[in-house]
Amino acid sequence: MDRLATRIEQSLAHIRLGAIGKTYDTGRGAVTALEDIDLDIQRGEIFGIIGRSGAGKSSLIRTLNRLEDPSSGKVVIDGRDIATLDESQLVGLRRRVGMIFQHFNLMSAKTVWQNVALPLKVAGTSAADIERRVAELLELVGLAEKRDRYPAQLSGGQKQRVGIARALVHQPEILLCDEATSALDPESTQAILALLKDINQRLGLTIVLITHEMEVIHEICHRVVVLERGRVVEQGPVWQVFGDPQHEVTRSLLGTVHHDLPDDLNGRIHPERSGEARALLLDLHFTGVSRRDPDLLSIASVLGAGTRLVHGGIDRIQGRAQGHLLVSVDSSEPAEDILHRARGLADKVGGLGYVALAH
Amino acid sequence: MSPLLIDRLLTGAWETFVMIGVSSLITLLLGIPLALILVATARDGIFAARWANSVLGSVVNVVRSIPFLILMVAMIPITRLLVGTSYGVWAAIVPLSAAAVPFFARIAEVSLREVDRGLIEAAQAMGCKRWHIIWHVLLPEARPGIVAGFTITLVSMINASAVAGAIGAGGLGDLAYRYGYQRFDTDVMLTVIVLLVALVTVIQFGGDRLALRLNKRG
Ligand SMILES: Nc1ncnc2c1ncn2[C@@H]1O[C@H](COP(=O)(O)OP(=O)(O)OP(=O)(O)O)[C@@H](O)[C@H]1O
Ligand SMILES: [Mg+2]
Repeated sequence: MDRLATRIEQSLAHIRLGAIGKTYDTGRGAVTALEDIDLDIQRGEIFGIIGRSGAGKSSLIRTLNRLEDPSSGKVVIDGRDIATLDESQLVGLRRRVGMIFQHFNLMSAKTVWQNVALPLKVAGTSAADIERRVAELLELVGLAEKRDRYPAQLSGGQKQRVGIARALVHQPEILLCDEATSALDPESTQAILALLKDINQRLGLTIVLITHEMEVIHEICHRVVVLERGRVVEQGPVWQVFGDPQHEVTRSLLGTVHHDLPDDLNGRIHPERSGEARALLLDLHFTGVSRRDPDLLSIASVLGAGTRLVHGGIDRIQGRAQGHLLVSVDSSEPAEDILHRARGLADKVGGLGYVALAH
Repeated sequence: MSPLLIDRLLTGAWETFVMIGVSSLITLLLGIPLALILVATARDGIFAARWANSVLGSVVNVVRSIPFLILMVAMIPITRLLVGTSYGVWAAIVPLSAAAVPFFARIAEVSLREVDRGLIEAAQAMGCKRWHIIWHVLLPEARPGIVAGFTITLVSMINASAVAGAIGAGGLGDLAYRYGYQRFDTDVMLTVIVLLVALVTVIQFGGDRLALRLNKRG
């Protein structure tokens, strides 16, 4: 009986969204920000939310701590429908769900120490416990010696560290991040990501994060959901969504990671074999689904002498090699035959046209 | 100047000091809560209450739009009720406060409303109750603006106290009116002006310094 209960407990999603809808009443009529969103977020995972501006990402994440109440549907955290919480239970929930923001939202009139201490102070924690806990957190985020500075005296990365310390001071189970690295330079972004990854692993925190930077998803997320006009258009493990995006929105969002063909190559592709353009350009697409690494020897032996690597690259996401390798195949065989032979070389194989052989 | 006159000047200065001191204390004690209520009950405030907000807002606007001299005369029955007389320093405190409270509340309201919504949201997200937000976020963040607003209020209160003096409230204004205006005694007039200018300068300077020191956004 006990073991069954544990199993059920473990199979329950940490956060479960059921048919969430959100409509804002504005002066000029109603704006629908979310429609019929179903999502499960597992305990201990880093869950990414991406989508174009205005897609509803912030609206969605804000329903998780009831900064925004959904117009329809249910948010269930730890098996409890959070719409049923009264005011004091909601305060309790918010202590179990930390949040960090794009613009940090630190109190300008309070020192670093006072900012991190504030959540404990309003919870009535004893002075000795506050002192101990704040010191611990400032140590964790590496700001122990800045405790008496004011936010205006810190860099962006340092401010976000204060934000993280403040969000973690109640030892929450969930951390919400709304574009937490968008206002940071690349170096600070890396440092904050490393910190988030570290807390996820060490404290087992469930992290839900919104970002416009695909590298952030690539680097630390386990699963990702793509929103468009308030709806889920695609979701899955990061390797899957990034390795083989199904929806047009996802592809365009990933544009910065998956480079389109360079112009010079694009201009030289002919649809039919003709004259100089007699080498078939093949796209070997490794989606990560088969977990295999590109096998250079078999590529060469299946496609034959004169096969050249023209363009492409492989990334590793969650331990899976993925990306595109564009090879030109110098052969007079019909394209169908070459494609047929090449089928086993990658997860997806396609012909792009004919190019002249480069010398 | 005769010793009698010097004595009168000292008494006048002391009366002005008491008038301003007590009125400003009342203004602070009533103005800040009033400003908080105005902000909190606004449409997107943390205790949103539309009716209360518009009723209170209208009262504030009406009182603010009455010229001080008229307010003072119109309030005589209320003043009598509160302090038992309509003459002297204590009687002047009633209309002075009545005029300054709404004035100061409006200025403080602006400072409170300018507190970044993101901060209120962060406070909510960390589990602050609404009173915590007022005490730990709104008031400390608006403090530099409130101090600057209080300085302005004090200065205009000194102005009003001189007007009040002219119709029998005592203080420096009274002195200037009786000796300067009615008896053409320029010395008294000038001394009073110098004292008032010095008072305003000190208050303005101190207020500016304090507001600057409290502002950590720098
Ligand atoms: N408080 C609000 N009142 C009215 N409309 C709102 C409000 N908040 C969001 N919206 C609208 O809801 C839609 C979704 O907004 P949301 O902020 O969730 O998008 P987002 O995906 O976070 O965008 P961004 O990437 O720009 O942050 C938008 O059309 C927006 O204008
Ligand atoms: Mg947003």
